[in-house]
Amino acid sequence: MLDASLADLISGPGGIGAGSRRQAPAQIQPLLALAAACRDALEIEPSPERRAAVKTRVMAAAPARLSAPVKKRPLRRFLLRPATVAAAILALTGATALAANSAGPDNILYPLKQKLEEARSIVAMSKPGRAAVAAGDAGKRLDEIKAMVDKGKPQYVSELLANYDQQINDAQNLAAAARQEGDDTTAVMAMIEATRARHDALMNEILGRVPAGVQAVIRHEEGGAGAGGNPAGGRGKMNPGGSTRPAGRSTSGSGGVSGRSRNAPAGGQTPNSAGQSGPKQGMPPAVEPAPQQGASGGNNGQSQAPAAGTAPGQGMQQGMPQGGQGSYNHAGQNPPSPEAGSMTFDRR
Amino acid sequence: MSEKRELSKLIKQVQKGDLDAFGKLYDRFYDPVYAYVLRQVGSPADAEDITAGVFLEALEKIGGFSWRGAGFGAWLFSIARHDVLDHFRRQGKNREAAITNNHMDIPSQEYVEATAEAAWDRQALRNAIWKLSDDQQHVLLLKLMVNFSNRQIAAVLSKGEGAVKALQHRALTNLRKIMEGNDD
Repeated sequence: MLDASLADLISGPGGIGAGSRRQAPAQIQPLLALAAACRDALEIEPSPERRAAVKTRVMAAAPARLSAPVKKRPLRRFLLRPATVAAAILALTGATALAANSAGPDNILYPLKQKLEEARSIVAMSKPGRAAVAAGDAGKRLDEIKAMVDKGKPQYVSELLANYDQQINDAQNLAAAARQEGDDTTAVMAMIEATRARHDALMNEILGRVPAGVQAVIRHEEGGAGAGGNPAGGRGKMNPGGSTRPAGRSTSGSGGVSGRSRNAPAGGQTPNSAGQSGPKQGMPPAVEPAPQQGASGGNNGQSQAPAAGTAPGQGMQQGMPQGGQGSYNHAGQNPPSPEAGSMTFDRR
Repeated sequence: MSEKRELSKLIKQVQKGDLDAFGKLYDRFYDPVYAYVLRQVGSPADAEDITAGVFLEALEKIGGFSWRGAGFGAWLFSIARHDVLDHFRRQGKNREAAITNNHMDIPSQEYVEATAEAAWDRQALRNAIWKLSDDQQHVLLLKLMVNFSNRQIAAVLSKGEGAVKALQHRALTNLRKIMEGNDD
C-alpha cells in the first residue's frame, strides 16, 4: 500500500500533494508526508550556466571516448535480435543442446552447434569474455579435428583448421584489445596459449594420418605443393621439436578467406564476429585459399556431408593461389589412404 | 512518438556515433544525474566532475546497451552509482563525512504547493537521510529525486523489486524515527 501510494504521490498530476495523501490509509499518511518533505529537501536545480559549462567539457572529450559504432547488418536486423536468438538457443532442451555440443562437422547437428557457439559469444559482452569464448571455440575445432581423423574422415580437417585459425586469432586480438583497455587478461591469455600448445601437439599427432593435401594445409605450403613449399605467412610451419608461432600466423581472416565465414549458416554470426567480422585489416595477404566456391551458396554449415562430386576440400582446392597444384583433390572420390607412403612431420 | 521510442531512437543514433544525439541525451539526463551525484558527494565541483565522467563513460559503453531490463535511465544511474563509489574510494572518504561537510544548503526550488504538514527543517531531513543504510538512502534518492520505479531502482541496486519495496518502507519508517528522536 505504501508503495502504491508513493507511486501515486510521485507520478500524480499534482505531484506530491495533500489530495493524494487523503486517499492513503491513515497509518501510512505520516510516511507519505515524510516522503513529500524529503523530496522537497533533496531537490536540486542545477544552474543553467553550470550545466552548459559541463556540457562543453563533455562534448570536447566525447570524440575520443566514442565507442565504435555498432554496424547493423541488414540480415541480422531481419532476423530475431541476437540476444533473443541467444536466449532461445540456450534454452534448447538439454538433450538437444548436449547432442549438438558434441557434434562433429559430419553430423547433422553441427550447424546447431555453431549457433550455440555464436549464442555464447553474443552473451559474453566483455572483451576478455569474448576472447575466452573464442579460445574455447578454437579448442573445440581441435577436438573435432581429432575426431574426424580418428573416424577416418580427414576431408574435414582443412576447413576445421581454417576455422581454428580464425577463432584463435580472434581470441588473441580481443585479449590484446582488452589488455590495452586495462582489463586483466591473464587467465584468457593462459587459455589461448594452452590452446595453441594443444594445436601444435595435435598437428604433430595427426600429420602422419592425413592425406598429403591436408598435410600441406597443416604445414601451409603454398599451392598445396609437397615438401619444399614456402610456408611464408599463413599457418605456421610445424617443427617436430616444438611449436611454432610465427608473427602474422594464420591469415584465414584476411581477404574474407575464412572458410568458416563462408560456411556459416545464412544470417548467422560466426564466432569471429564477436570481435571482428570480415577481413582482418593489416593482416598479411592471404596465402590461404580463396573463398570456397564449392562450399558456398547454400551449404548451410559444415554438417552436410559432401555432395556428390563436391568434397569439402574442393572449393578450397579451386581457390588455391596461382601455381598451386593442389595435391588433395577429392573430386567426389574417396580420399587417398592416409597410410599411403611414410609420413614424417618435417621432411626438410 | 512516445517518449521511450524517442529515447530509443536517440540511443541508436549515439550508438552509430552521432555526437549531436549524445548531446541531446546529455540535456535530457544531466539534471537528475547531477542532482543524484551532488546529494551524495556534497561538493558541486566534485559532482560536476563525476557527472561529466558518467556521461563520457556512458558514451564509451553505449555500444553494449540494449533495451532489456529496466531501460536506459537505470543503466545510466548504475554508472553514476559506481562512479560515486569510486570517487569515495579514491578520496579515501566515506559518504557520511562527505554529507556532513557538504554544501547541502543548496538553493532549491520552492515547492509551489508546500505540501509538507510537518515543518521539518530541510537540513535536518537531509542529515537524517544520511543516517540510513546505504541501500535505504539510494532507494529514497532514486525514488524521490529521480522518480524511478521500483523496477528501475532494482536494476540500479542489483536487487529484486520486492527488496526495493521493503527498503523503501524501512527507509521511511527509520527516517521518521530519526526525525522524531531529533524533535525530542
